[in-house]
Amino acid sequence: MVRPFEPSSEDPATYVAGLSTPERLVLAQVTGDVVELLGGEESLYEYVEDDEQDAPGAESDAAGSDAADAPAPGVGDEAADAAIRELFDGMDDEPVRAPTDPAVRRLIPDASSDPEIAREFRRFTDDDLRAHKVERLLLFAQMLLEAAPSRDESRQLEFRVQRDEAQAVAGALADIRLVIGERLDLRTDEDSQELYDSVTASWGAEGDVESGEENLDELLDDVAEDGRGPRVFLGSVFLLAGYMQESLTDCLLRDFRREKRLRRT
Amino acid sequence: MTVRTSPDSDSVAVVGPQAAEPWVTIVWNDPVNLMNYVAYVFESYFGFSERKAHRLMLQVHEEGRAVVSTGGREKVEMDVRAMHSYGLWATMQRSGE
Repeated sequence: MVRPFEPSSEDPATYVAGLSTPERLVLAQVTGDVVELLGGEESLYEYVEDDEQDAPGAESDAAGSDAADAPAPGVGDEAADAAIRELFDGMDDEPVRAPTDPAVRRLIPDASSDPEIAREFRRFTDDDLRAHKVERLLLFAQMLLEAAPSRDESRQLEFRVQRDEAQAVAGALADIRLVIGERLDLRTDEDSQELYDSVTASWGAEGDVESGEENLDELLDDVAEDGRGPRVFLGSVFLLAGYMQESLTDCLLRDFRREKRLRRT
Repeated sequence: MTVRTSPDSDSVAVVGPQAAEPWVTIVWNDPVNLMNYVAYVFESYFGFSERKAHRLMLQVHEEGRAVVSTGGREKVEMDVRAMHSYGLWATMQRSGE
C-alpha cells in the first residue's frame, strides 16, 4: 500500500511518498471527477494540451493519441469567447445559485444561515473559490501522472511534492475526501469510524496486506467478485487520500512550527 | 426560489450606527476533515499558538463548533472565504446571535 509522506533525505524542502501505479491512476481519476463537478472540465482539457506542448515527444507512448499533438484550428478563439462570456456573466445582477449537488455544496458551502448574507457572499466568492480549487486539483492530477507507469502494479513509485506546493496538494486531497465523504453519506464522526473499520477489515480479509501486495486494482477486482459493492472501493480511495493528506499535513506542521520557533529566537 | 426585493434590517445594518458591530467566524465539525489538518489551518492561517489551535480544534470536534475569529464584516468574510478554500465548513454571523 501507499507509503506516507516524509521529508526527503537529500532535500528537506521536498516531501516524498510512495504510490503504486494503480493508486496513482485511481486518484487521478477521482481528482478529474471532482474537477468536473466544479465545472472545471474546460480547464482540464486546456491543461492537458498545454502540458503536451511543453514537453513534446516526452513519454509519447504513455501520452497516447497522436492527434493531440496538433491543436485544432480555432480552439484559441473559442477559449477567448468563453472567457469574455464568463466575464459578462459575472457582471450581471443574477444571484449565484447554491449548488444543487450536495458534494459541490460541501466544497462551496453556504457562508451563513441567513439566506441574504449567504447569497451575497456567494455572488462575490463563488467563481474565485471554484477556480482556486480546480487549479490545485489539476496540479495534483498532473503530479500523479508525471511518473512513467510501472508494469509492476505493486511497485511503489516516488511521489514528490515541493514544500511550497504541499499546502495546495493537501487542500486538493481535502476536497477529494469531502466529495467522497458526501457520496458515502458520512454524516457523523461515527460514520467515518465505521467506514474505516469496514474498509480495513476487508483489507485484512485479503490476507496479503501485510506483504504489501495489495493494491487498489486488486481491491476493485475483489470488490467486484464478492459483491461488497462500490462502497468499499470508494472507502478505500477515501482512506488512501486521508493517509496521504494526514502524512503531508504532519510534514507541513513540523516545518511550519520549526520556522516559527526560529523566527522567535 | 423567492428573492426578497426589499432590504431587511440585516442588509441596512452595515451602513447604520451598527456598522462597528462585530461579526464572528464559526468553524463547524464535519466527519471528514482531519484533526491535524484543522490544527495546521488554525496555526498557519490565523497564527494561533499550537496550544490555542489544538484547543479550538478539540472544541470543534467535541462541541460541534467553535468561534475562531471576530471582527468587522469584511474581515470575517475574508476568514470564512479562507476556511472554505481550505475545505473547512465555516459560517459567519453577528456575535451574540
